[in-house]
Amino acid sequence: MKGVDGGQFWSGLEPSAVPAALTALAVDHAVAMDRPVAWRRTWLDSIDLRLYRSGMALTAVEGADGDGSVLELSCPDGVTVRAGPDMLGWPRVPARLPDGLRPHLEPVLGVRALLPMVEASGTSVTGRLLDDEGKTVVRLVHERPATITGGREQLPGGLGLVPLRGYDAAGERAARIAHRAGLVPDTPSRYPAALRAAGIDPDASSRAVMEPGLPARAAVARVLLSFLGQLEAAVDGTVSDVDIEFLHDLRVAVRRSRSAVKLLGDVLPPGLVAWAAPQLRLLGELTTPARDLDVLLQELPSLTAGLTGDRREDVEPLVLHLAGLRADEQRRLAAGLRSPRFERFRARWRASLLALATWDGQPGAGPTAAEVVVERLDRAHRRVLRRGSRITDASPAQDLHDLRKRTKELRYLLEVLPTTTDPADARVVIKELKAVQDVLGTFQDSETQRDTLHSLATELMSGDGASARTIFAMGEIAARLQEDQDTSRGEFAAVFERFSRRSAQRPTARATAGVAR
Amino acid sequence: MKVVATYNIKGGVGKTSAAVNIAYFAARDGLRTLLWDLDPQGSATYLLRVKPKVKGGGDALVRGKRTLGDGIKGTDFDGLDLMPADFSYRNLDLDLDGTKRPTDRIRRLLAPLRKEYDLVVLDCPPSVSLVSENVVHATDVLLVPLIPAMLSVRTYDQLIDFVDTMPGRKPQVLGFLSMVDSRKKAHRELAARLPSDHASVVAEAIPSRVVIEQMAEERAPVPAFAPASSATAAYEALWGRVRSSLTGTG
Ligand SMILES: Nc1ncnc2c1ncn2[C@@H]1O[C@H](COP(=O)(O)OP(=O)(O)OP(=O)(O)O)[C@@H](O)[C@H]1O
Ligand SMILES: [Mg+2]
Repeated sequence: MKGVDGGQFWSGLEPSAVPAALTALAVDHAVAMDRPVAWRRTWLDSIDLRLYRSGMALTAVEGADGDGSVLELSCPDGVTVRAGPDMLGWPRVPARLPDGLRPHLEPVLGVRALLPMVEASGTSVTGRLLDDEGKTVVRLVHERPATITGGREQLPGGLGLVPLRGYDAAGERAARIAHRAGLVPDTPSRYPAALRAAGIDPDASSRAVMEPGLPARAAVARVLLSFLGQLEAAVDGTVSDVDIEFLHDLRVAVRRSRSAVKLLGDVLPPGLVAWAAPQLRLLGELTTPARDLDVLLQELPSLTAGLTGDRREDVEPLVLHLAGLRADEQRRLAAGLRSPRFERFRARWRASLLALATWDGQPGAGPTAAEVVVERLDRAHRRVLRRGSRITDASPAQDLHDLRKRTKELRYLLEVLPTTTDPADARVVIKELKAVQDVLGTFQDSETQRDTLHSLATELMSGDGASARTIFAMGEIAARLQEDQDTSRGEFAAVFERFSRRSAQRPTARATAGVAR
Repeated sequence: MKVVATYNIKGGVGKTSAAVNIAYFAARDGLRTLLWDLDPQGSATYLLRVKPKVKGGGDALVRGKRTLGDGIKGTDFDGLDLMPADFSYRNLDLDLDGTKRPTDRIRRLLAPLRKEYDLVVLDCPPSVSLVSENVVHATDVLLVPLIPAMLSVRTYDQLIDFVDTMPGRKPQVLGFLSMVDSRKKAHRELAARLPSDHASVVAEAIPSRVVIEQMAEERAPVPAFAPASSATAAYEALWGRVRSSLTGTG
């Protein structure tokens, strides 16, 4: 598959459209075609399609003789950056990408690794449209329909048209002919088309939303099923430690499942809830130590940047120690996720939810999802207001941590509801709630990290390799964390006051009740 | 961006043949190359199959507002573009002998293309004066085809002297023997002697070959239709020499 830099790619779902276009082009121009060339390429992206979402595409084009592949990055501005030959294989975190690509990809990918998303192979033929002097005026690439590896669909064929410099008029004429033959403009990288051909709907919303009119039991089971799907999708990446976001995704799925069970579980069979709730809690606990270490390792550079003088090397023993702990935790986590126990949980949870998720359409199957959620929402909202208003500068830290949990529940309920008749209202409430959550989050996280540093210091001092300098630097970092915590406590009152005022003006229940009426 | 010109006040000595083949090899080596046909006769334009614009075409309306970039045409060869002859003369108000225009006109016209091309090859017409200051000012290497004859050696010596006495920026002058017929004794002798007598005459000579004349029928550089010929090898060697001279120029 040959790139069409500076040109336009036209594709046709109708297999006959490309040959028809070629025939029509041959009326206008002499057409010279070369020999067909076989190609194989892989489109790469992070598991959450960050490149797709930012309008980019990265492909690895396999060399003819196993001599590495050429990486081609199409940027949103139409520029193509190439690197290679590249032999390292996938998945790969951004830090291990070729130098020429890193500056383009790092801001988009963050810590996420690149994985092969779609692989396809096919043949293409390059050719030229000639004028009456026999001179090339437009280069063309004829892509035959390509085979998606491990899929049944084909990547539709198409035609790349690249006018030579100074031959724009000829290029426009050729484009009109292609269009008339039934071809439509397509992204030159073919990435969106390749995703669809591989059965991936890149624009599908990953947010699980309740269907308001469904009986509550079926609706809750369906939402839980979709969380389970997200959880399962994150397991392999977590076990093989592709990037640290897989673990994060897994934890989000567990947390959402736990919230749903806690807040809406009373519509499910009590026996199932009594079994599932502790299972989910254990699963959450299994993942916590590794995640905490990930977060600390991620934040350490910015924390050490605040140390007086350049004392990066002072904390080096701490980094090594943390990395060692993390490797241990990762092993424990992987073993847990590969255990028969986890497999049994997963299978039974899925089977039970599936049985509950079906509804035969008969009325009288209990309250609707909307009725239940609106009532819970109201209750959760009142609870947050009540607890929050009791918090003073003298409140123990635990009260703020508890409030944080309640705000998470409220947030969860707001998000699990479908867009209401007046989405602006819900958005305002969510925005103010998020501000409260941010403050409470900083408050708790700085405390947790400070506690972690204290226990790490104890460990380091009883072990070897820690100098007084290291401990001293850790103390300085802990002091900064303390400052962060104090600041967020100071900010709390004002942020919470705004939330309660604005959410009372637009009661959350009313903001979302549109679904119930 | 580097600039090479094929230059000789005499006509029919192999300037255009050298310019086209050298530009082809430069592009093949990955240099983004522009061949600028400065000869109103348009031989290079013809050899690369670019159609001359019909006289009195619509562009008369916009005369004066056009820049060099507007006239450039892509050729059939990757990385090689062409600036056709007629465009230069009808839209850019060129005057190579520099009587009406400042002598840095070519340089100024090329300035906006600095980022787009690594190499520009100027194919010059035979000049009425010994030296076109416009060309000399614009180039890094002045590539001069020499027919193996005493007379051409004398004009070459004059050219060298002239460039030496010129004020300001000076190109490196490289002479090469062109159309060498090894069956002729005089040719053989001169071809052997010149490079050792003249430091600026390079050993890479272009033999007289029918394939070079065939460029006019094939309308393509020699390596495109006779890649295994000795003419291809000779032009490639000459390009190699030009390239190393270019890396030496500032
Ligand atoms: N090495 C060679 N062997 C045989 N024929 C040659 C050779 N070099 C050039 N010719 C032929 O000689 C003629 C003149 O060559 P060319 O056009 O390259 O010279 P020029 O110096 O550019 O001429 P002009 O001054 O007319 O622009 C052409 O027909 C060309 O095919
Ligand atoms: Mg000529």
